[in-house]
Amino acid sequence: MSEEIFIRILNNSATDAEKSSFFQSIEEDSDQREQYKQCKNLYVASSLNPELHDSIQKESFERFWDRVHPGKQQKVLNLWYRYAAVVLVTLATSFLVQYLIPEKQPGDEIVQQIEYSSEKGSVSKVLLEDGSAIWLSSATSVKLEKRGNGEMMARMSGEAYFDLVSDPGRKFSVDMGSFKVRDIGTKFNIRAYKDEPGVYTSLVDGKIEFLSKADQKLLTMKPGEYMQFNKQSMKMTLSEQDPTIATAWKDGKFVFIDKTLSEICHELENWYNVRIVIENKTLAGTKYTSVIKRTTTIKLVLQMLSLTDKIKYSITDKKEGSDIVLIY
Amino acid sequence: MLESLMKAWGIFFTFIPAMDPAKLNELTISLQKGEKFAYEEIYNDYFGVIYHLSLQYLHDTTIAEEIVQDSFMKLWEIRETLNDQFNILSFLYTITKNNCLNYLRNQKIALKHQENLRYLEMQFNYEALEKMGNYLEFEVLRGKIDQAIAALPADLRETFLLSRFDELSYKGIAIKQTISVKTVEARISKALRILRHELKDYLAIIYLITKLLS
Repeated sequence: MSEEIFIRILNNSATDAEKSSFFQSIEEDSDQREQYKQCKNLYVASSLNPELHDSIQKESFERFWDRVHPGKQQKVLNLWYRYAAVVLVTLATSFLVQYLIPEKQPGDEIVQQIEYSSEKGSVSKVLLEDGSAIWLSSATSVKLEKRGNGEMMARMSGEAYFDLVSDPGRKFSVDMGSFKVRDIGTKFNIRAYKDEPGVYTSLVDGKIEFLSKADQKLLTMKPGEYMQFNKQSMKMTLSEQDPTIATAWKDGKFVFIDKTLSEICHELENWYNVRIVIENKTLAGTKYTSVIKRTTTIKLVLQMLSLTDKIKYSITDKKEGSDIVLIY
Repeated sequence: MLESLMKAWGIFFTFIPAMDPAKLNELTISLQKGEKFAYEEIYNDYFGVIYHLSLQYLHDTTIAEEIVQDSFMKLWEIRETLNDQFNILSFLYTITKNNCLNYLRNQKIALKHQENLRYLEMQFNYEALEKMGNYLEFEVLRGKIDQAIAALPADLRETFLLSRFDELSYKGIAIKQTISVKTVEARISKALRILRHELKDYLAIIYLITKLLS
């Protein structure tokens, strides 16, 4: 057999007659079959080129996007419609209200607005007039709005623990953008860092309700429950989790239960204001369980990690910006 | 003979350049969010590779494209679980390979008693694809190839890269480098000899080709 025909067989440009005689000739010979398969694979592997098939690729992408998009669009549209309707209704009512009843609804106006924030690596506690307290975790900000009718509204980013005194005369809610958390005399923790995919709520004591933007009740949470809200799919998932895990930060502890090294490093980065680079990909997925005091230095934490496993690290001090920790 | 085969196949040099990790990281976040530009970018970078894979074993453009599109659908479905450790190309490659195997399995059953020629071809392609390594193995190989090329003596490397990547003819290279065509030929065959030696553990099967042809 000639070299040319063989190459044509491999790149599929051989005629039917050529193929027929070739495949029949190797069918009986298991040695030759094996060799053909290896050559075929080598040929394919060596010709995997991203620049081939450009024209088909564009069309294919359009069809792919059409396929995935209806589902997503619907979701977005649904939500959008819902919100749009709400906005329209509010616009319409407020317009009417302003038009027909020129006097302001009493109590709706904001009478006081305060913002609290904490830096990376610090936990702060805010005491409110009524004896309620709010703890702010690392890199967190909480904005409080007090309205004339006694209603309190908080907006936040980061992680905060709310310990609120029960007061039937005062309504307190946290506005998370897509939904609201309404408290009915409680202790609860909300974790809502902007760079994380979800918002995580733990209830320690009392009762809280989740409301939609339009104040529709979505669900009620009981103590010991843990709610994960996925920002992208807008899905809420309720499960059970010991609330002391979520609130351990308040007592100066990191609690990692079955967390991957990359999740742990994300936490450490936030707290110690360092940048951690994990060079070894397999290490990043290794899971650890441990409790670490937040007052421990990063060096000690790294030393602990290097004791338990094959982790090595180096720290580069930077004059400007965060120090870099390399894990390898 | 081996040289001419390698040349005809363009062996070694079509491996996909690895994506810049920082860019990949940003892209992963956008993929999670389902942003169109990110999927378009992944399509641009990877479609050719996996489409080629499925076309080479199926020999049917419509079905090959459909299978590849399904692989991207899978990526879309799992987008929320993506992270920076996730090898997207390897994922697409594996899904495509499995779907091609499924397709070939079903097809060859249907063809068994009808078309002997196509049946045999599918049977062999099926068996070959089953043995095809995973994408990570190619990445390892690519690393070795890059290393071996980098280790070539400078003059050989320069001539060699011109012929492989810029696809210049020997005459074109001779003019560009102001050397004779004979020198170009000599350098390239020397470079191939060195590479073959350096990569012998990884490309052992290349020697089988000569056996098969003799």
